[in-house]
Amino acid sequence: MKWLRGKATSGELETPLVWATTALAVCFAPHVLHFPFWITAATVAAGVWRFTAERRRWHLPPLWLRALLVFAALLGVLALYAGINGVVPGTALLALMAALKILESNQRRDLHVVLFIALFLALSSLLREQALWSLPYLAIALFACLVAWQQVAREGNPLPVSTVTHGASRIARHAAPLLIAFWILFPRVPGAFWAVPTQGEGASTGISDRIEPGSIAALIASDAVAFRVEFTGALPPLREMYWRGPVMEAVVGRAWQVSDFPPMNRRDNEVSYDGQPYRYRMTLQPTGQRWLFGLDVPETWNHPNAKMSPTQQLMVRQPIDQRVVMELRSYTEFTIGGELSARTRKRLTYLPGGSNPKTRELATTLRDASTDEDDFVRQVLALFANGDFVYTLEPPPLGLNSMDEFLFATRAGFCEHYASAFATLMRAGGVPARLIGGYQGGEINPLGDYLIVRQSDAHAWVEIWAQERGWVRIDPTAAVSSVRLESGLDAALRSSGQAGVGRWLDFDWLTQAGFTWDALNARWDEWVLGYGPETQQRFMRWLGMDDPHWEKLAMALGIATALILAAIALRLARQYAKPRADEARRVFERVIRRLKVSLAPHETAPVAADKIGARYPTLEAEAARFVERYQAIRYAGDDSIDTLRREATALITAARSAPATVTTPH
Amino acid sequence: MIVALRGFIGRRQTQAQEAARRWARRRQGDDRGLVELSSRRVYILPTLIGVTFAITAFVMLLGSMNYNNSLAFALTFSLAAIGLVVMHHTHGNLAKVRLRFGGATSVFAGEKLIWTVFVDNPSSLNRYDIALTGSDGVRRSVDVPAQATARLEAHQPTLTRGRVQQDRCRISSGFPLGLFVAWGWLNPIGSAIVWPSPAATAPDSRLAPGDEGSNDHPIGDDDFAGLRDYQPGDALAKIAWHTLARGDTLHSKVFLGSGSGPKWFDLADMDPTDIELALSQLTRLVVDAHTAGLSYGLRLGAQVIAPASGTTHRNLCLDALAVFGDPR
Repeated sequence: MKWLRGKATSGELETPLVWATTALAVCFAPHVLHFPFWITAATVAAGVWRFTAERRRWHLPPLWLRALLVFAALLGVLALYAGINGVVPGTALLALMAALKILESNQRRDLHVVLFIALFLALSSLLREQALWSLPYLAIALFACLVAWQQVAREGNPLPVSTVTHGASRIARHAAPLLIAFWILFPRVPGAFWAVPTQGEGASTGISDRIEPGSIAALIASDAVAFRVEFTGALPPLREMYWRGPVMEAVVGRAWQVSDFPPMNRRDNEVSYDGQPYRYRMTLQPTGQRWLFGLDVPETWNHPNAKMSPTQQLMVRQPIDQRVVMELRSYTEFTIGGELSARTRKRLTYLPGGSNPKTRELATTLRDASTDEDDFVRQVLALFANGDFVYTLEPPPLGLNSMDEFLFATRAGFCEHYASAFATLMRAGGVPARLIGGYQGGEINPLGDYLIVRQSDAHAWVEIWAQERGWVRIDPTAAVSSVRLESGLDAALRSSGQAGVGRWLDFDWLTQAGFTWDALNARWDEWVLGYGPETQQRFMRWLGMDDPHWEKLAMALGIATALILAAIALRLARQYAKPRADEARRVFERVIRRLKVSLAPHETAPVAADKIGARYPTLEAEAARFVERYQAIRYAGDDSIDTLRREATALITAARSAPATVTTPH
Repeated sequence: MIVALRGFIGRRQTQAQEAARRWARRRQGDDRGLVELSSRRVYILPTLIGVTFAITAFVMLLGSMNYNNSLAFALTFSLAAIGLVVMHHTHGNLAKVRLRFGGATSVFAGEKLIWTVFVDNPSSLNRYDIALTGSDGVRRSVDVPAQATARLEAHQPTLTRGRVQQDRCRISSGFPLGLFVAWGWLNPIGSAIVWPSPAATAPDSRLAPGDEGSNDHPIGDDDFAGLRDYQPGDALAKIAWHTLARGDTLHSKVFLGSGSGPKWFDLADMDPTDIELALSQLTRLVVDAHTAGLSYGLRLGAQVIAPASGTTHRNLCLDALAVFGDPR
């Protein structure tokens, strides 16, 4: 039955095995909640079985069984994620491979591999989440790996725990300066080498490219930060802060959405700016979407890959899955003019045939009753303002002809209801209209002096094409609840007699704590997580390096590394060298020399004290104390060497001015 | 094809290693007395695990750059920093140890000479996993605490009799993470005598036709004649341990009979066609005679060792057999 058994175990691997599995467990921990239960169970089972096998000297599983298990693991992951590409399935596979590696480990080399897999697991947990606690977690994981690593690499008997923890902290201490140098100076390059697979479930957050009744209301409940803005100079008033995001020109069923293929040859995008510019820096959280946000409307921006689309969206080529730090300049007074071609006008007044008949009828009635377009717009807004519409976070659900139901039946809605109703009415009345998604307002953090814009500030508004004036922003929500724009959502909901969303905490100290925490997070986001090409350039310039391109950075990195390594080598050379002659003895001899006392080889330290006393009568007591301490250090294990040095210096200084008796030679 | 290639690479590798060793030897000369392993003669290279680790870190770097993930960069850079730091730690752990070379006791050809090397650690840091590899290729490792000394052995296989020089050995350490191995070559100048390997059987027919005539049973326990006072030089086997155990003074047993005179082992009595076999058989005779506690003498051509007994005498005879015919 030889084929039933694998290699034998010797019991020698017991300690390294325990350490390696512990390190693996630390690196595995952040994944537990994201993996299906069976992956964790399989890994734990493998660890426990392997340890028991080492204890009881069982044989390891034979090759065919291991091959079978590898196959089963592969199949399990394939069934779970329908593929092994991407971070999540890759991580799951990695975890199972670690389990299998433990199962077959019968050499120290195998345990090294387990540790390397553990480090990869730690890495992939960072790809998923980078919170404030990620850095301490990373430090703990690395430390655990370092400790385990020493035991795995150990040739003799396992080292005591104190030795390996000391060893690990020594390595960490020496590595820290190098890590900081690498971190700051390693040239960061923008962009990815290969297409990054989207990170599995729930990749995109925030405003999506599609708005239908209820989609923004779903965001409002989230307190998550969308981006932070730090203005240099004046802040625009809160009600003018429209953070422009996706522009939705297509109507599909109930939804407004971003056109898949926006026509490029449009001429309705000639922007002219007016008034004063606002300069600000934005730290945008990853959205998984291809647009950036900007204060309506951005004039310049320093993101290398961003381009302005014909509909004034800041677009990037690849979905944003990392924090973006960029500097922009915006004007809140502007006109988007030019010419609207007949074809584009037709497209922008299109509504799906047969939908919302009552709304269309209302639009036609209103349009016919109004003198011109401006009057039409006024009438529609007046309808919202006076028609007992309610601004609510929990509007009743709407059916297929959503606008008919909203305008004529429920009359309760959130910003996307008003915006899409308004835009639909406009289009039905022959006015080109489009929906803009984004954020409105924000919250000033007095501690960090910056603006926090959260998902709960998500908003939707409308732009209509007015003759002569071009695209004009109209926010129908303001007609219903002007408070929303003046002082934020929470106040708006309270003024309409509803419970707030809970952000505006009633306790001052809690508010304070919240601000402090967010200020901390903001610094973290900007300087640690957002430390990319732009931040690096900015930091380097601040340090005084002009034009910091990658060659300069690489050179600086080389020099810094060489210097740090030289310092480490020097320190190690000193530590591993034979210690110099007893330090206390050297101090003692210096005093003897400087005080010009001659001491024969057979004469002891107390004799020296007597001789000093004889030569400098005023220093007798001091000399006796000094010699006593010297003897305590040398022979009684006292360790007050610094005090001895101080006393020696004091003695030598005092001797310079003390009256000396001239000793006559015998 | 692959096998041939591997063989080719293997040969080149061995040649390169040999060349490196010769270069190191020319560079640092022989080691005698107290030798400090200076930093200059400690070499360091990554191990297979170290190379794997470097590849791991590089893949992580690519991943970090691709995802432009700051904390992933932090992890990758930590690993790179650890790698660089550990290189210095490995080197430091081995450099500046002090070595003293002990001798090796003689062995029979085919056995291993065991050379003792004492490793002093004069520094105030402990050193771990200091290993010595003798020419038998086996690593033996030991820890050397701060300001202490540890003993290591280098085993050296032997094939033939004679005076042999101590092989060079390799002192190395992979501490703390096994990513690098630091090593130094030691060229000690010790020498030891390897005795001929004793033949399986002694040719008793030719055994010592001394003065009292042939006797293939030189001594029997039945020939026990009595006890006399112990005299220095009496073989251990002849000491009357029973009487000593009874609390009596030390006595030696006296055997009577024709075999009681000293035996003579003579090379001339052996088969002259195979001198090595002859020496090997003489070795067997000497060993057996010593074990039996006999008094014996040895004639190797012109060289004559007068009959005596005891360990010193045995070693003298075996040494003579070992270096017989050796011009040195």
